[in-house]
Amino acid sequence: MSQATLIKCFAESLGIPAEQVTDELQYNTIPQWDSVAHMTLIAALEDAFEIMLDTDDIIDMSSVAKAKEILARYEVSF
Amino acid sequence: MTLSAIRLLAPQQSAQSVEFFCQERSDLLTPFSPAALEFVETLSRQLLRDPAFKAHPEMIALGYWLRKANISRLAEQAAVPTAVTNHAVRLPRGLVFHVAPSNVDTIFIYSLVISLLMGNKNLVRLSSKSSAQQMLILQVLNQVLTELPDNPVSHSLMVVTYPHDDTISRQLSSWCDARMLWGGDNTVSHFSSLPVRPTAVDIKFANKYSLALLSVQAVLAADDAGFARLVRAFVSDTYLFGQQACSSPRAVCWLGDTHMVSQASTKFWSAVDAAVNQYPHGLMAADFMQKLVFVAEHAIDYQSVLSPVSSDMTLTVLNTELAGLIETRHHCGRGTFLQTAVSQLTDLNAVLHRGVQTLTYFGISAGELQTWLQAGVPGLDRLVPVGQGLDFDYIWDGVDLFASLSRFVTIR
Amino acid sequence: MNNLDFFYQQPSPYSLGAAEKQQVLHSHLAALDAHHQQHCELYRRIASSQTAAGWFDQQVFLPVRLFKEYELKSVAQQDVFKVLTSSGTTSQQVSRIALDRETAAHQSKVLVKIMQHYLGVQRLPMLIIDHPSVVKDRLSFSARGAGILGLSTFGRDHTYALDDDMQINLERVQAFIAKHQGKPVFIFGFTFMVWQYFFQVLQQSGQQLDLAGSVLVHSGGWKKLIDIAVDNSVFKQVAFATCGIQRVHNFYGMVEQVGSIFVECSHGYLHAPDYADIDIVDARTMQKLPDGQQGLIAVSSVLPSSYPGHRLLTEDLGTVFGEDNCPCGLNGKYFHVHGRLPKAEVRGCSDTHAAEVKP
Ligand SMILES: [Zn+2]
Repeated sequence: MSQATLIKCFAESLGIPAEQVTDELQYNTIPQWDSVAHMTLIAALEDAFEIMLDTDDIIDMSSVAKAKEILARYEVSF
Repeated sequence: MTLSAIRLLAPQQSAQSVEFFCQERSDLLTPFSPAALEFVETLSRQLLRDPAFKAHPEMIALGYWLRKANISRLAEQAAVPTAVTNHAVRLPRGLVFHVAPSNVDTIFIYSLVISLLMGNKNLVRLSSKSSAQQMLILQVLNQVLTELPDNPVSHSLMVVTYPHDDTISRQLSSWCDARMLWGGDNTVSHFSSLPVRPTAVDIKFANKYSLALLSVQAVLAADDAGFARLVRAFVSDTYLFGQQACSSPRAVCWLGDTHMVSQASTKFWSAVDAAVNQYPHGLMAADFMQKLVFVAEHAIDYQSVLSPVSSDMTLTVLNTELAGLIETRHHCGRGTFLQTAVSQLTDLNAVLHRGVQTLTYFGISAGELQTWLQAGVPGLDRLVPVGQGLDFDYIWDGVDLFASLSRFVTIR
Repeated sequence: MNNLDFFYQQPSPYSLGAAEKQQVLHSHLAALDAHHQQHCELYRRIASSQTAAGWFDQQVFLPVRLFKEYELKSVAQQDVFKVLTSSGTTSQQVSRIALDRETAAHQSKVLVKIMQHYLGVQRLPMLIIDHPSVVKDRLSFSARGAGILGLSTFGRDHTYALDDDMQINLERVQAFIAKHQGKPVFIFGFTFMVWQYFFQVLQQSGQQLDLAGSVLVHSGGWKKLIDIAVDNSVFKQVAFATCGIQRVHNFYGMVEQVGSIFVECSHGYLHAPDYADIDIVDARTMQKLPDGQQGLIAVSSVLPSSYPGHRLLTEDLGTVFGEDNCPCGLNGKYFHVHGRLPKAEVRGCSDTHAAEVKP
């Protein structure tokens, strides 16, 4: 469930197909995931999982895998 | 009465006249009312979801700042300590008259949102010179107003424009309980000369100048990833709005061992040079021309010398003495940096003044900065890590906007 | 000190071929670089800064706008014999160009050499498309006034075509034409004035003037005309249709480099005379561009010794098409001016709209 939500957040915020959202996908490695899209992404994740991310976590969220790791700390399980 | 020259921009239609709107006070809300939270959340979502704003990082940044999580955080930060709430109730001020800057800038929206979160009614005056940015702001506001026809906030907001006319400005000023003045020094001074009622407050945000403070040792010691992050963060602080925002650093001051400065600065600027040439900075020939003129002006005034670190005019670095670091008269932004070095923080005191707003820092501990500030500095409103220069804070230019846009009624 | 005899001794102002010009002009301009470094402290400071970045092959080009802000001069105040001023179209600030006797003399002499090439040595009856009060105050010349006075040398029986209210004084113009019937006449005016207050008025009222055989010289920029879709060919067509004028020479020059002007040849190209040169610069790299590419116009002139205006970067866009091989046969680089650099967008929180506060 969470996995599907996560992929949806990434795909919609970055404007990329869902298949492209893999654990390996990294911040700033595709033009769609730049600092501006990152803001949209953070807002989408907070909205979808009803959480409030710390600034440090926002900065650390440098890949999809990392995003899962961080979200886990907010009691989102994958 | 010349109020007929006022044009209503948002909402597109209103049953209330401007005069009635400005004088009626029975419809004020309470701070952080559910209605206001819903309004702000809708606004945020609109900005983040509508593909129309994708190409406008400043609109995305606004939507991001307005997102629910951040507003809740702000509400916590702005919460009044129990020592006060035991004998005081926070209420809105009444009508807030926002004078938006005449050029393109979204910053006044932040203070508008804080004002409506406090429960105030808001009258916004936009410049009569319409711009693409202005259209976007109006577009999103009108979308939200249409989406929330029954939300009381939708009826306590009016965005207007009118030709330069002191009679109108004077009249509107006389009705408000607080006036927020954004803009250049001339605009702010001019509006200040039009009186508000004795019980009203004026909150002024004039021109400001910002700089970055980098630790020589930290830049040299940074690992590849940390260094790359620093460079990216610095570039977005400075090139996002063509270095025109008040809080975009226009100068870089190195702190540390003077013998190592040139090594650190070469490392830093060559990386910035490479980064800006990949960055969608939008600078054009006219911008480069402007920079060329500034290079000459600064050389004349301070004998500064161009640094050969950059490959072209997209990045311009001028080596200057400390005295030439804060240059508020001619500095044209557009990727132009005045550079100098100091061996200790207190050396900066000699050039700081109240017109200096943000200091972005890298590699300097918060404790060190605290100690420096506590001994007293002649300027500065905010110190933030490099990369957060353009972030808005509810304490802006030293003013707590939550406090200024509300009032306490004490009860003993 | 600024000896230009070598240039004056040439048979025409378009005599020097590329190789020779490069050598002679280059060494002369280099001498002026050194002269201004020594005598103008402000210039020295700018030069130190610019050369550190290695722009323009290590040559120093001052942005023309600086003359609006600073009094840049390389002579003592008591040697300043005249100050030329110009008003920019965009700002209220004016350029202030300090002339000593030597620079002023070179300016007049070079202008004579160049204009004689087109007008001949005889002074022709001169019709000025402007109103007479533009030259009334001789102590503070406007650029328009200075231009008119400068070119008046080449004419006689100076007749102003317009009255102070900018209306054509047809009676006066007709009398002038009748008096000089059948002889070549020299017509001068600023491009926009000639178009707006002369050609347009004649065209709209359907009046024809017989100025066949005369030479029209005009200058001042195309900006206002391009805005109303009038280019050089339309301008020339209307000149012929309303007045029968077949020889039209536009010229490009600036108040910061009076004298060494760039005149339009019979093939419609502006030409660099021996006394001056033109380069096209890429604003992003501050390096010179090859022929055929559009960029900022940089102009050099051997005349200015009382102020550091010998190498200037303008805010005009142009393209150089070649050197010494224009079909008209004249030597020198030939080029087109495309107009002003488009303005940059204004962003941020600074006071960029002073007008905004006006009540
Ligand atoms: Zn030719």
